[in-house]
Amino acid sequence: MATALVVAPKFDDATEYSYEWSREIVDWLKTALYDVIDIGGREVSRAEVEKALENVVLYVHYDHGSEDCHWGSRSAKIIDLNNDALLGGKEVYCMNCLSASKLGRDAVKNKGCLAYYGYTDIFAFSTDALDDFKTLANAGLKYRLLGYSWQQVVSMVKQLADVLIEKLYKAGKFIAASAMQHDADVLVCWELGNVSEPKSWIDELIEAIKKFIEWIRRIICEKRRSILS
Amino acid sequence: MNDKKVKQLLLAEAKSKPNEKIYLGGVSFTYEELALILEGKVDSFSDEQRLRFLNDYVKKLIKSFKKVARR
Repeated sequence: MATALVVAPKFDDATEYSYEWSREIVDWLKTALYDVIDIGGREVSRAEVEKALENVVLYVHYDHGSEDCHWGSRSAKIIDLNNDALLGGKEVYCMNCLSASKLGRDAVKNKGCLAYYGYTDIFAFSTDALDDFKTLANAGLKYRLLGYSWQQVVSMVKQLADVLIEKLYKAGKFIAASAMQHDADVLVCWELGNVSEPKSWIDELIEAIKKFIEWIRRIICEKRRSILS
Repeated sequence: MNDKKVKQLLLAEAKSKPNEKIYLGGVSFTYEELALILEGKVDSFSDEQRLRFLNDYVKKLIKSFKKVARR
């Protein structure tokens, strides 16, 4: 039986929610006949995660993340650029902020991680739409357990996000809808050969100049049209 | 839809339910705080770091709202 490790620490307001959301993930994994190592509901140390990672095929993290790490408590980095070789040969599913930006890229490009599903920027959620954000956060793993490829999973989750966003928008929950749009926009799954590089400041500058030129063109066209009419 | 219109819509919602919260990772803000930012009342924030963090996110929120509204 394949083993999955779910790490869902709990040590502040936000992790109360992420821990609760992770319970559904544990249930699904058990239903899919995974042997589940479930560490969470409290502060989690680096050492226990490193040990637990030894024989798993899937690692799930629900909690705070930074560009270069997963947190187990306010002070403990449980996975970072110094021990992400432990993700080699494994699939990773994250519901945390930012970690797909540096850690995920490094794990896949340099450390042999098979797939890294996560967010390249802040994952935000609002209390007026908790069920919808939970649905979004957990959907990727559900689709993966149903047998879809990771790239299909990302595409399906973004489609699901579109449906949820429309529902929120129609209900007048504009803040939740906008936050979810951002979450969906920064969702990625890196796999070997499919890791895009972050934009450099030069790329950003070129993009801004192009937008500016386009804006000027549009204004000129509008002026011409108004003169002609 | 321009930024002013988007801000008006988000502000009206934020003011209508001031006790709801938005979590930006581990940092939470009430909608009341969000409303203050949208109104430009930045002096109400004593914590400079929180202010900058929320201010940066509000820019992303406005951009995302435009995308949602364009559909």
